Formats: sequence, structure tokens, C-alpha cells
Amino acid sequence: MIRVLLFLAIASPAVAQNLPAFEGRWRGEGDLALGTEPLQRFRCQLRLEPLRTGETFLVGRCATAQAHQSFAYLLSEDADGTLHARQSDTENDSLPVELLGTAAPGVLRLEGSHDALLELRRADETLHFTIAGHDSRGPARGEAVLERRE
Amino acid sequence: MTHAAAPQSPALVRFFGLLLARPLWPGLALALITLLSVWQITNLRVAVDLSGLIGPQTDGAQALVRYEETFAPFRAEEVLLVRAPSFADDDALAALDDLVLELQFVDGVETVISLAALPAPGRTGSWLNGPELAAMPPAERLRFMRVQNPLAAQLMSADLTDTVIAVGAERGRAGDGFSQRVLAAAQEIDGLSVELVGLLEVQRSIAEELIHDLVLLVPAAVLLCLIVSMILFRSVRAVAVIALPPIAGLVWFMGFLGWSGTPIDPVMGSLPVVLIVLAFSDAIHVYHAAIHALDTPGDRRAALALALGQTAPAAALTSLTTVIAFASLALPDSPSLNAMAWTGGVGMALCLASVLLMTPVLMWALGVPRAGGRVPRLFDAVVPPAQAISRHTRLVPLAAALVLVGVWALQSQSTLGFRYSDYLPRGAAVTQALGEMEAAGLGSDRMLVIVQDDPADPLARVEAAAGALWGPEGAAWVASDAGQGMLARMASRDGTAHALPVQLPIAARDVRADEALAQLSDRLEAAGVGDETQVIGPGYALLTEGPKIVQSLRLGLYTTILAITLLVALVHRSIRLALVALVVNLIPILGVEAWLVLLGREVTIMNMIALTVAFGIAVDDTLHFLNRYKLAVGSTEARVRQAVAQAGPPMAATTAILLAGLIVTLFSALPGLSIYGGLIALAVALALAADLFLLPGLIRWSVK
Repeated sequence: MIRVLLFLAIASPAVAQNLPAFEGRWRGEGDLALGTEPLQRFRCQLRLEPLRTGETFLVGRCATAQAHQSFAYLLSEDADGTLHARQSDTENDSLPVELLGTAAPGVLRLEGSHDALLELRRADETLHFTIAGHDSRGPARGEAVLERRE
Repeated sequence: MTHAAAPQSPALVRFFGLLLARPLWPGLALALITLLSVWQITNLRVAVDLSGLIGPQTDGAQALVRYEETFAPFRAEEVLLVRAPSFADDDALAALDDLVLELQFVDGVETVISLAALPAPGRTGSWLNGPELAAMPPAERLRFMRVQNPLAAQLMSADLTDTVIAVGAERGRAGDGFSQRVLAAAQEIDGLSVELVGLLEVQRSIAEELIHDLVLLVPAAVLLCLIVSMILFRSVRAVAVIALPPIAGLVWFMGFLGWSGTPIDPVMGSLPVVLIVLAFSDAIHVYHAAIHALDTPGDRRAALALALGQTAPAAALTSLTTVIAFASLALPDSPSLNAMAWTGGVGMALCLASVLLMTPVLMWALGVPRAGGRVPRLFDAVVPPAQAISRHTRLVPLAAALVLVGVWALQSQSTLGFRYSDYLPRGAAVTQALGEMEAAGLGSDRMLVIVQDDPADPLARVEAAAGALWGPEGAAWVASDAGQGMLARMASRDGTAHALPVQLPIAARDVRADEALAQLSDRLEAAGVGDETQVIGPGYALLTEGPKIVQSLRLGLYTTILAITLLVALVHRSIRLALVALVVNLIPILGVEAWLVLLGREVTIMNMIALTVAFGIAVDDTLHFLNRYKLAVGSTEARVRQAVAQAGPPMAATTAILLAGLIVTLFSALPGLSIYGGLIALAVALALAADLFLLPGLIRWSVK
């Protein structure tokens, strides 16, 4: 038995396990601040699906009454809590291809070029989601409180 | 009664003799083909794409291509008519906002165009939910938006109870699944009633009706033909010999469509009924000839072979004339009509083959007709008056000339047009919803007015066009900051043109679809931008190309008339007979057009197809009559008498069959199909009258 445990310990790299806490389907609303525009009603829907140990697929869409933005990233968490996100939809050139950040208990935070930010904060059964960036109209920041759908 | 003098073709008589002598293996082969066809029918599908009426090289289609190159690609979109008791209510507006947000999450959605998407003046965010209007009560807010922004006026009805939302699909994502997801998302929202009303929903609704017609009307047409045959021949075996070949021919045709992957579309929808009734008509002529052939004692098989050999060329000729009529549908640049052209030809060929090959086998298997059998007497009553009238060799030509001139004079008053309502299923939810949209002032089809900008004053023409489209408020809006902001979104990629959207009522009422369009063109002309603007859109292409297709079909009809006249001249080696046949067959066609003029209706695509096919059918009686005239012996007068006696009753009987079969199309929920069937039925009835009461007299007058 000890040999088996030793083997498993050597065979699998030690990985942090912060991603599983976020897995599931989430949906909720908040506000979007876009440039100098007044706040707009903002709705988001996320799905986090485990792929293999330390990797999770994040797919989501956020929308206002005027438009929507979809995104899909492959999240991978290193043993030291470093979090990588790589866009899986290579045709979507309006979003950063890669984001880098940290994973800690209850918090995933990713940042990228052009002030890009993607943050998920888990608080009990809700998820505080923040998405931010910069486009031709100025800075954009959307925040929404999501609830688990299943 | 005098009988035919000689067989038409010894080779044919030998062929039918052989078939009657050894019918087993051919019979099994025919049964196998029929079974295989039944299997292939499972692959049959219905596909409705109204844009298929318009060819890719037409002006309307080319205008759409140029728009996509200059502006943006057209996306398939689902259009929703959203209704509330009143949107002048906070809860209803909140529900609308919820709905728009919900639609943004539909899988495959690209854009959602709605009142809530309109940007506020001077900024890009939503105006409806922005701070500018927040202090206003909902009614005031909506009315203010409608006055200030012509786009808002097109999206929200004046009484604030109806609004329109367009949901564009990503490339390749439109379809039934997408529409169902859109509808499912909409039904999540309480307090609103939502219906799909766009072109895609219209097409789905037409497809549903087509399937309904195929499942109900075709069997109903067969049943009515069976009933008429039973009344005529009063023998189950005789009816089996007459009915099974046409039914098998139709099965072969449907199986062919399934095997070749050719879908049935609205234009082709009535083809099965036309084919079955024509095949019944041929089968009755063949059976009639067989009964006559057995009048004389002798070898049954030889007599039947002779009858079949004599009638087959006439049946082939009548089928050929209908094939020529169908072939003329290949002339217009219209994929739907072109498909009808060749499928109609294939259908006629298969039905003819089935009648000619299967009838002898069934005659052998069922042992009918027998020697001493009698032809149906039901229509013998037509013979004495036809004979009596034919004696008036001066009066008949005069009457024919007067009738021809009369219908020609009326026909010359006919106008060409396109009725969108011909294609909208009666009583369907989408038809009703489109009617309500039009009544609410929201139009029923979105078109774009492309304005070529003046380099010296880029927005001058846009302002003039906006004034013509939306009134003085529209022109003022274009000049405002809010309008300028929106216009930037409506500009072409190179900035030299603008595309202004306009909702027009084209669909719901049974009126010419281009009425509103003509008024719009007049207003653009009056505003001085007639030459610098062009209206485009899928609906516009149908409206403008429709009359051109009708014109092309009319040319095809004239070509058909010429071709069939030449064919008659060639077959009967007589220009006089061909010209007489031409007069007799022009009367029903011109008569139907005259009737349309009297009803105040223009000639549309479906009407012209009906006229073309009707000509191909109407000439059949003439050909059967001329065939009997050719086979008869004696003086012209005697031959005419024999022809009237022999061809008259079966002509009347087959016309009864045709009318019985075609009458079922009147019960189609698709107005185009019922008009189509009705016009063919009218033409066939007029053709019978002309063939019975004018043709004999004209032949006696012209052929001395």
C-alpha cells in the first residue's frame, strides 16, 4: 500500500486544486461600464467544465440589450497556483489569446494585454464575475453576480 | 359506329401484341419498379426557398450581391412580432428588456435588433434604458422615441402594443433548430406574446402546408378520379385497369424525386395532382379505344394490341405537348421554375410509360375489357349537340372568330404583377401575424434603400431620401447628432453610400405586392433622388423580378403554342388542321386571361405557369379528336361525324376526371396552388367546349 502511494506521489505532479470549486454552470446579472456611457444592464452565463487534473474549460457569454460577447478559454493551474488561460476560439480576435494570473481558494484572477481582466470570486453559492478590457470606446468593465444553475 | 381504318404504327401494335402475349415477366418488372419507387419515396423531402424563384443573374439578385460586397453580408434572420396589452407599462418594458437579453444567449445568434438596441443621441448605449428618458413615464418615453427616431417608429407600433425584433443568425447556423431555440427563449418571458413572422417562418409554414397537401390532396385527387371512373365504367376491374397505371406512374415519379434528391417546392407542389389527372385521362382514352376494338368479333389479344397501338401515339403526343409546356418553364432565370420544367417532363414521361406498359398487363391479368362490353354512355349526350353544331359551317367559324377576338381584346388589358399573398398559407399563424403587423403600421418586409452619396455634399441625398422614406421628421433626424451617429453604422465600407432600412407592407393583404413599393419609388423620385437611390432586399427582388419572370413565361407560352401548332401540322401533315387547332386552343388560354382581367387580377407567376400547363393539357382533347379524325374514313363530313362520336364521350369523360382531380387543389391552404388548379380546371373546361362545339365545325369549314 505504501508502495502504491509512493508511486502515485512520484507519478503525478503536485497540482493545486482551486479550479474544481468553480466548476458548473453559472448565470446572473450586473452592470457594464463602457467608456463614458452610463451603466448598462449586463447579463452573463458561464460554464466551467473539468477536462483533466488541473485543467478546466471556461466558456461563457455576456450581453447587454445591444450586443453580446462570447469567450472560451482553457484554464490550467500550476502547482504554485499560477493560472494560465488560453483562448480556444482562435477566430475571436477581439479577446486576448492568453491570460495569466493566479488561482487561490475561492478566487481565480487572470490578466492580459490592454488591461484585460477576468476574475471569478466564489462566495458561498454565488460567483462574483468581473470582466474588463479596453477597446476603441475606452475602458470597459462588467461585473455580475452569478448563481449556480445546476 | 364506324371504326378506325388502319393501325397507326404496325411496330407499336406488334409491341403491344407481344406484351399481351407474354405479360408475366414485364408485369413482375413493373411491380418491382413500383416497389423500389415506394422505397425511394421515403427519401422525398419538401424544401421551401422563395428566393429560389429568382435566378442568380437577375437584377434583384445582383443588387443583393453588390450590397454584400459594398456593405455587409446578408444574414438569415428570424423576425419576432412581440405583443403586450401595452408597452406603455413598466412591467411590459422590463419584460421586453428581459426578452432582448435572453435572445442574446440563444446558441448561434449573431445580432439582436430591437428597440432596446437603438443608441441614445450622442452616445452608443441603449436609449430606451438610458438616463435621458428615465424620468419619463413609459408611454411618453416610447412616443418620444418614435417621434425622434424613424427607426424606433419602424420597430414599435403607434398604439404601443406591438414591437418587432430581428434575430440574426451566425453564418451557417440558421434553420429549424435556431428558430426553435429563439422561440423557446422568447417563451421564457412572462407577459409577452411572441410569434415568428419573418421570411424563414413564412417558408416553414409553406413547407408544412405542402406536406399537408401531398399527404391529403394527392390521395383525395386519386379518390375522386376513382369515383368518377367507377361512375363511368361501373366495373371494379375496369377501374383497376384505368387507375393502377396512373397511380403507379405517380409513385414512380415521387420515387424518382426521392432517389434524385430533388425536393418539392411551392411551385412544384401541384405537380403530383396534375400528373395523376393527366395519366388518368390517358388511361381512359386507352380503355375507351380497347372497348371499341372489341366491338368486332375476333381475337381479343390482337384487337387490344390494335387499340393500344392506335391510341399510344395520341397519348404520347398529348404527353409531348404537356412536356413542351413544362419545358418552356426553363426559359426564365428562375431555379424553381427550371426545376419544375425538367421534373414536369420526367413526371409526364414516367406516367405515360406506366399507362402504356402497365395497362396491357392489367388487361391480361384482370381480363377486361371483354368482347361485347359497352363504352360508358354517361357522356354520349355531348355527341348530338356537337354533331348538330358542326353542320353550321358558316356560323361556327364566325362564332369562333368572335369569341377569339373577344377574349383576345380582354386579354390585351391584362397586367403583370406579383402577389406575395399567393404564397402565404391561408389561416396560418404567420399569415395572420403579418396581417396584424401591417395593420399596426409595422409593414411586413424590411427593405433597404441604398443612397449613393454626393461627394460634394455627402449627406444631402441621404437627407432627401430619409424625408421621402420617413417624412420631415426623418430628414430632421438625419441632420441631428443622433441621426449622424446612426448613419455612420449604415454607411458602406468605402463610405460612398448609405443603406436606409424601411418596413413595407407587401405580404398580408391580397393586393399587388408592389403597391407600397411603387409609392416609395414615387416619393424618392419626387425628392429628387430617384436616380441616386436603389431599393434592395430579398422581398424586393421577388417583387421586381416577379413580373419579369411572368413576361418570360408568357414568351415561353407563345413558344409552346408555336411548337405545338408546328407539331400538329407535322403529325397531321396539314397546316389547315394545325391552324384550326391553334384557334381552338387559344380560346381557353385567352379566355382564362380574360377572366382574370374581369376579376381585376393581374397575371402572376403562378397564373402564367397554370396557363402554360393548361395549354399543354387543353390541346390533348384536340389531339385525341384529330387522331380519331385521321383514323376515320370517308368524306370530311363523315370523318368529322365519326371523330365526334368516338372522341367526344371520352373527351368529356377525361375532362370530368381532370376537373374532379384538379378541384381538390381548391382546398389547398396555399392560395397560389388553389388558383393554379382552378385556372387549369377552367382552361380544361373551356377547351372541351371549344373542342366539342367549334373544332368539328371549323374542320368541316376549312377542310373540304
